Amino acid sequence: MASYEELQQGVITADEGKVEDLVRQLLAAGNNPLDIIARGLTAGMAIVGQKMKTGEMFIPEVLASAHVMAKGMDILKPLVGDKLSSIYIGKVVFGTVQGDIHNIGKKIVSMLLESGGFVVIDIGVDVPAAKFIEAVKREQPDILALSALLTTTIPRMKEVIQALSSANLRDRVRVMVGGAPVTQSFADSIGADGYAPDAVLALERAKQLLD
Amino acid sequence: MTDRLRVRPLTGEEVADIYERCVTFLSTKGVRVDHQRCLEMMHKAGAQVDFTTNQLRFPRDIIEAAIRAAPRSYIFAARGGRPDMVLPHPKGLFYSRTGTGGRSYIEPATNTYRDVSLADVAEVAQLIDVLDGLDICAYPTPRDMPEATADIHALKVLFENTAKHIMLQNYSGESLEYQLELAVVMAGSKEALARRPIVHTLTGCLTPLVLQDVFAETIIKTCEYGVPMGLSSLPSAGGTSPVTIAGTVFIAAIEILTTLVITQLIKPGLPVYGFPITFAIDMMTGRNRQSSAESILMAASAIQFVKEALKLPAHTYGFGTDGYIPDAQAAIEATLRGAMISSAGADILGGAGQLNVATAISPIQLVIDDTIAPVLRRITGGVKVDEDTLAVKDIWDTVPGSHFLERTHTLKHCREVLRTDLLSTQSREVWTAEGSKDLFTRAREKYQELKKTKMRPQPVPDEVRREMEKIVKHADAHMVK
Ligand code: B12
Repeated sequence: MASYEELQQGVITADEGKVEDLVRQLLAAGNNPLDIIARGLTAGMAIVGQKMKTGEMFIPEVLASAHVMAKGMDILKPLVGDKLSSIYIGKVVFGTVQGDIHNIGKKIVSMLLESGGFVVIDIGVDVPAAKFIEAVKREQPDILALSALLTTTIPRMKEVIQALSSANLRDRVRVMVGGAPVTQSFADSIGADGYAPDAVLALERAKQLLD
Repeated sequence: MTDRLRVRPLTGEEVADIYERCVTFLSTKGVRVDHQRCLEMMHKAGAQVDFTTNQLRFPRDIIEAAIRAAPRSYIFAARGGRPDMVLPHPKGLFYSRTGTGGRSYIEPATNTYRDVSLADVAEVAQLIDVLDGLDICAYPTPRDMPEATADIHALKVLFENTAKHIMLQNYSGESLEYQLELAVVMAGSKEALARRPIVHTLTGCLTPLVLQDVFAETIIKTCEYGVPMGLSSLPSAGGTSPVTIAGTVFIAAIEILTTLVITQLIKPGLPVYGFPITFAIDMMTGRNRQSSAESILMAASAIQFVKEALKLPAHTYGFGTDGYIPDAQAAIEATLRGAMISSAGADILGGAGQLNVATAISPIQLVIDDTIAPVLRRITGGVKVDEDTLAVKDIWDTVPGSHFLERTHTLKHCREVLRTDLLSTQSREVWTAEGSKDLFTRAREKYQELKKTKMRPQPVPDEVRREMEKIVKHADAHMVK
């Protein structure tokens, strides 16, 4: 008989066919869809997260696991209805600041945040402050994440934070910043709520920001 | 004699295969160009442009005409009576170029990191000026200047502190215009600058496969001024390009070929070179690496492609480390990279003095890389074999068991043996008596000595200085918010 442990294993090994089969079998056996999500899919993903931190799993493997977890979710989503929002732990709007077109760091962090249970809205590169404000109004995220790779563009981060204040949105969203030239002390100096030097720590920090 | 020691990671058929795939790709799929004026220029020049998707395609005949139009040889000029650098190097060797864009300065005395200041840019330029193993100067980005014009301030200071040829790196299209105007003042006139280019520019792509606004602007402005330009591609394997060596070389090849065709359509005969700067993302941590085994092999293969398929001079990092301070890792990685890249046929070995994946500059590492460069040049120079170098007569005349120290042949050739002042050649006793100093300490002392005795600003005529100040002021007034 299908078990939650097996389902977790399916997520860890990113075995799409197995995960879909097991989800269906567990449903047929009368298990609660929210239990299948919590004790099977997201529990499996939590182990993946651990294995990523210890270096046992590589980033593409983590992303493959996240993809397979999402496949399992697709089967369960219609059955849980509006309780679905409880599956996601938070929402993030993410962009690279104006004047800066570096995007792969942002992509890696986005994908790992997604794998850790966040919904991420990527609004691209070279994003002016006004567009960040618009996105925050529209998406009402828990976290606004800003990336910058140039010493010449990190000042734009401060401007985005100021724009949030001017729009009376500052207390509605946590701001996380990162990118190679960003440091903890820079993040502190511009009044950001969080900073992380790499994607693995970014996920950890983002989770802390929700508490 | 082979004219140069060569390592060819790819076979001739593989180079041809990648080239054919590039042509197929560019003629059927193409790349996206996010710059309206550039698209219009391409359309006029006969390329296929889809104005709804911004996709740009080149038929084979246009690609091949562009490859033929690009000059095979041209010069980089320097100032202060230094000889022009002919590309490719007439002896089949390479030129060296220092690290770019780094934002951190590593303190020589303590190996600690701090932000680069404009004063550091001046100091680094003076150091580069007196290190004979280094040919081309690039620059770190000062943090104590307004961000929008930091690169312009830096260039002025470079002109005031080194006479060597300078590689520009602009942060926006607008800042390039000011930088080129500074170069015009320095060269005397726009014509003089084009005739003897004391600077060259860089363009590139937003990997994968997008020619972004700032790079299109750079191409158009460079064509207007007629100075040489590096056509870069900076794929990060596993991130912005395939994780495999061949796949990353393929992307770099497509991107370099794209900017090659665009430049030659806008200004046929503009001197350009191929500049594949291949990185590889560490699949466990997500950090980019410039000197992992794969990134080195990718770069060597891409250099071979640029030389053999595009017939252009080629440039990539020949130095640089993923490590954080000048230490054994830095020395290993810079030397491995240098040996491989110079043997792969690169005309310019870049990244001297740079650490932490191209984000930091260290005077100590500059001094060490200045020492490595001539060793690499000597090795890449290959072996000359003839009657004289074989010492045929001397060997016939040799009495078994005798020696060669007194031979005329030895006297004649003994100065050809490369000596470096930094690598130890003394006995251990002498070394101990002198304080048992390791390489890094010796490099630090050499730097301090140069600083005391040789490093100084360049003579710049008052009038030129005033003109440059005017340009920088204008830039500050118009570009700084
Ligand atoms: C690849 C690259 C490019 C590519 C980018 C392609 C792409 N699709 O993204 C291209 C060619 C477009 C490019 C362009 C330029 N670049 Co560039 N580039 C790089 C390079 C080599 C690697 C960056 C990268 O992709 N790293 C890999 C990713 C995975 O790492 P990462 O971005 O740091 O992200 C990690 C962390 O920082 C963190 N993180 C990132 N964002 C965020 C956000 C949050 C919220 C959090 C928590 C964490 C986080 O997590 C990520 C994963 O671990 C760097 C050197 C370097 N080592 O950083 C130079 C570098 C950043 N570039 C530089 C320069 C100068 C330029 C140009 C101006 C050069 C030019 N004129 O040709 C232009 C800029 C144009 C513009 N207006 O933006 C300089 C910057 C110097 C400075 N003053 O700061 C550098 C340092 C190189 C150098 N020494 O010259 N570049």
